[in-house]
Parts: sequence; C-alpha cells; structure tokens
Amino acid sequence: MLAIAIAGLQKSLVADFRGRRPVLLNDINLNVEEGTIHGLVGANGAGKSTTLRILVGVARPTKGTAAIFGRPSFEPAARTGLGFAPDMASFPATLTALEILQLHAALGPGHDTIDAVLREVDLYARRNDPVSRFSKGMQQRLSLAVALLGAPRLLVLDEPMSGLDPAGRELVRNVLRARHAQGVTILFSSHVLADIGELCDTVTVIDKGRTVFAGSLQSLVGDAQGHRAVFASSSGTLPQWAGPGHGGIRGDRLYVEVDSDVDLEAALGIARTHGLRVTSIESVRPRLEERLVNLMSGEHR
Amino acid sequence: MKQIFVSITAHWAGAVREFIRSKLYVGLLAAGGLMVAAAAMLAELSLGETVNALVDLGMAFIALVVAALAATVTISSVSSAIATREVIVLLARPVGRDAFVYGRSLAAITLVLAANVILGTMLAILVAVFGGPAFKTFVAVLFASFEGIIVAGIAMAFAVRSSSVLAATLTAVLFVVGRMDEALDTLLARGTFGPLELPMRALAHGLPQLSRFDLTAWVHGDAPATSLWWAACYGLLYSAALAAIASLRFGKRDVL
Repeated sequence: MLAIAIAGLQKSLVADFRGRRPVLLNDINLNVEEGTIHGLVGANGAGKSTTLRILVGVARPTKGTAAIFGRPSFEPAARTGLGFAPDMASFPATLTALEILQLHAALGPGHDTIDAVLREVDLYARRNDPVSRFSKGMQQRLSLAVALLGAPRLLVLDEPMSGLDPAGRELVRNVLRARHAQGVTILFSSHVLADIGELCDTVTVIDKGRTVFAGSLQSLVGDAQGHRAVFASSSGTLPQWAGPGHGGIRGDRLYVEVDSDVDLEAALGIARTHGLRVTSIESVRPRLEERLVNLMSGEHR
Repeated sequence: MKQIFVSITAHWAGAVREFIRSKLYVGLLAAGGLMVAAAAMLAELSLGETVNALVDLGMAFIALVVAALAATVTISSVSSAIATREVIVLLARPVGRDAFVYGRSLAAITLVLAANVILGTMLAILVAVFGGPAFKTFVAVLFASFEGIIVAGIAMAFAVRSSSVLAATLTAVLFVVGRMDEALDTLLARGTFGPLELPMRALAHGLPQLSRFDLTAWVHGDAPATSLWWAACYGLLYSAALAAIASLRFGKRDVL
C-alpha cells in the first residue's frame, strides 16, 4: 500500500503587481510505499519544503493531488497517523518543552507518549525549561519529539538533521532506524547525501519543481557505468581538459572521469586530436553525489 | 465534536500561557497601570471636579491601553506565528484550522478581560479614595471589555491573511472610525448622499459601533445612551461574526 501518493503536483503563487505568477512546483510525482524510508533530495529552492507542506495540508496545490494512506492530505482526518517536523522549527519562546508537547498532544493522539518521546530525543531532563533557553539543535530535537507524539504510522521530516552536531545527527539517525524497525514509514528531505545513502530504501530527486528521478538508491547509482581514462602526452605538454566529464592533471598524466560509454568515446576522440595517448581506462561506479549533481544539472530531462 | 472543543481549549491555554509570560503583555499592562496613576495625579489639578476628571481620564486611558493590547496581542499571536512558521507544526496536526482561530480569539478575549479587571480594580480603588462611585466605575470598565474584544476580533480577521504591519494599521483605522460612530450617524442623518445613501448607511451599520460600550456618562449619574443588554448582545454577535470571518479567511491561506 502507498503511504504517500503525490501526482502531478503544481503550485503557483498569486500574481504580483506585474502580473507574474511565480511557479514553485511544476510537476512533482512522489510515491512512498508503506514501511520504507524514502529520501527527498533537491538543491536549495528545488521545491522540497513546498512539496512537504502541501503534503501535510498547510498549503494547497494549484493542480495535482497529495494523499496520505489514500486520503486527500488537506482533510484533517488524513493526518491522524502523521508526524511532521518542519525545516527550521520554531516554537513560542516562553513555553517549556513539556507545555509544547502537551499542546500538540491535545491536538491529536499522543498524550500518553509525551515522556517517552522526550526521553527518545534526549530532552527529558530539560522538559521544564522554556524554549528560549534551547539551542538550535535542541529545538530541532523538540520538533522531532512533536512529530513522534502518538506513535505515528508516517513520519514526514523536512531536513531533520540540519543544525545538529554529530551526536545529535547520530541520535536522529538512531530514532529513524528504530521507528523504521517498528514499521513506520518515513519520508525525509536532506541535503546531506550521506544520510540519504545510509538510511533510505528509495529516493526521489526533484529539480526546479519537477521530479527528475524516482526509484531505489541502487537504481540511481547502479544503472550508470562511469570510466576513468588516463592520458599521457608524447610532447610533454598536457592541455586543460575541456571535454565531457571532469579532467585534471597530476604529474605527467591527465585523468579524465566520465559517466557513460558515449562520453568515453567523445573523450577519446578529443584526446586523439590533442595527440594524447591512452595509458589506461578503468570502469568506475559514479558516487551518489555525482549522480545527483548530474540529475540536477538536467541529465535526465 | 469533543475533539474540536479539546483542540480549541488547547490553543486557548497555549496562547494564554504564552502571553501572560511575554514582555509585550506585561509591559502594556504596566503602561496601563502608570496611565491610571497619571490620571489620578492630573485629576487632582481640577479643582472641585477631581472624581469626575479621574473617571473620565482613567476610563479613557484604560480604553486606549486595552485596545492597543487587544490589537498587538492578537496580531502578534497570529501574524508572528505565521511569519516565524510556528503555525506550521500546529496546522499539521489532525484538527481543522478553525480550532486555531477560535482558540486564539478566546485567548485574546481572556487577556482583554484580565487587563480590564486589573486596571478597572486600580481605577475603582483610586475613585473610592477620592470618595467617588467605585463599584459603578469598575462595572463600567468591565463593560468596556466588549470594545477590546471587538478590536481583538478585527485584528484577528486582518492578521490571518495580512502582514502584522498591515493588520495593525487596518485595525487602528477601524478602531478610530468605530469610536466616531455617533458622529458618523449624525453625518448620515443630516447629509444628503443621493444614490450613495443606501451603501453609506450599510457601511455605517457594518462598521463597529464602539461608543455603545462607553459608560462614562452612567458613572457620572446619567442614563446610559443605549440599553446595556442590547449593547452586550451587539458586542457578542459582532465578535462572533469577526471570528467566523477570520476562520473563513484563514482556511484559504497557504503557509509556505
């Protein structure tokens, strides 16, 4: 069963005084199977937060649909099993962590889980402190605690690791692993690709408000075969590389890395025109980061 | 149905807790207290009319401070929560947005009533010291809470879809116009507006009529200008209508 189904999502803002309507989302498609951890990846301004805010019902799409366990997400009842933590969470500074959790627990299920979630995010000892005394990282963990209230079936987290120190990041990773082991579906956005690579089963990549890849991490990284070619020059001078892929000179060798067979053929042709000879060619699997950068620069469009 | 009441209560309790600890509310209340004390000092300068001057100045100062408090607390509670994205986590919970608007409106009403009780008690004590009608003064200040409640409702209706500056400006304009309702009635009665007569009358009736809640003359021993029951019903209905408008407007707002 699909925990999240987003189809053809578009979002435009109201026209400004010059009649222009800024477009935030063009065509977002995102499906998350129940019980999986799904990563949402994209550059700044790609539309990750807008997508998640439409998904949790705080904004409405211009076109398209967003559903949680088969129900339109803007219906309050659809959010009963949902825990959401936004990017850069903000809470009333004069309230304590406990009061904030009590407020949110009264707005849904979870009153009996307040102490448990405070312990889970390591804030139990500070539960009676006002939020004004919390660091950014502690506020981020409080935001996660709010999302965990009431044992949700689905967690939607917008940049849950941002602003956290290494220990805090590890804590959040452990919480997500533990919840996943209990069968909770998790969708989270992140700029930190190591977190995506470590935690996610599937991933959706968005760029400029459009889905450019959706599938397993394996298919994202594994369906491409890269190559590293090493060239030497009989004349002793090596040109600056201006062909496909990335090139760099180390010592008396020019190292060129490309992502596909086609690019390799093109690189070999360019090398021949410069009078370079091939000393070695080896196959390499491109790193996740490289694949994502390529996707975001328009490779799949 | 039970869940909506629980949610409204949760929003109300959260907002009241938030504001009674805030410097904004405490600061405005302290300013009100100082103005009431200043009214007593100024009243002493009016030879033979000390009590009347104290009641007039005290009630006018309290009305001004409570209106400012109602507007700023309400706008801060909504516009700031939207601007800082505080509201996103609240709206993502499985309850409708109405609960947020009604809960925050009730919190504003609570804070207005608390301010009127505190400042009204101060003024009544001072009036008693000068040998004036202390109880009537306290009742009059408490009755003037309707004005603060309506101002809070206007602020809420604007704040849910406007920036805090715009909401504050529009609320201030309606407060001033609402205070001039009797002058507006006189203008309509004496002037000739031709085809604009009907829209002008409709507009005048739609604007808040805040002078209904001013019982200063009653404290001085005159009969109140309007029926107190009718004025109370008007205040309650007008506030309820404003809350409903705010709820409708907020329901259509995207928080991005």
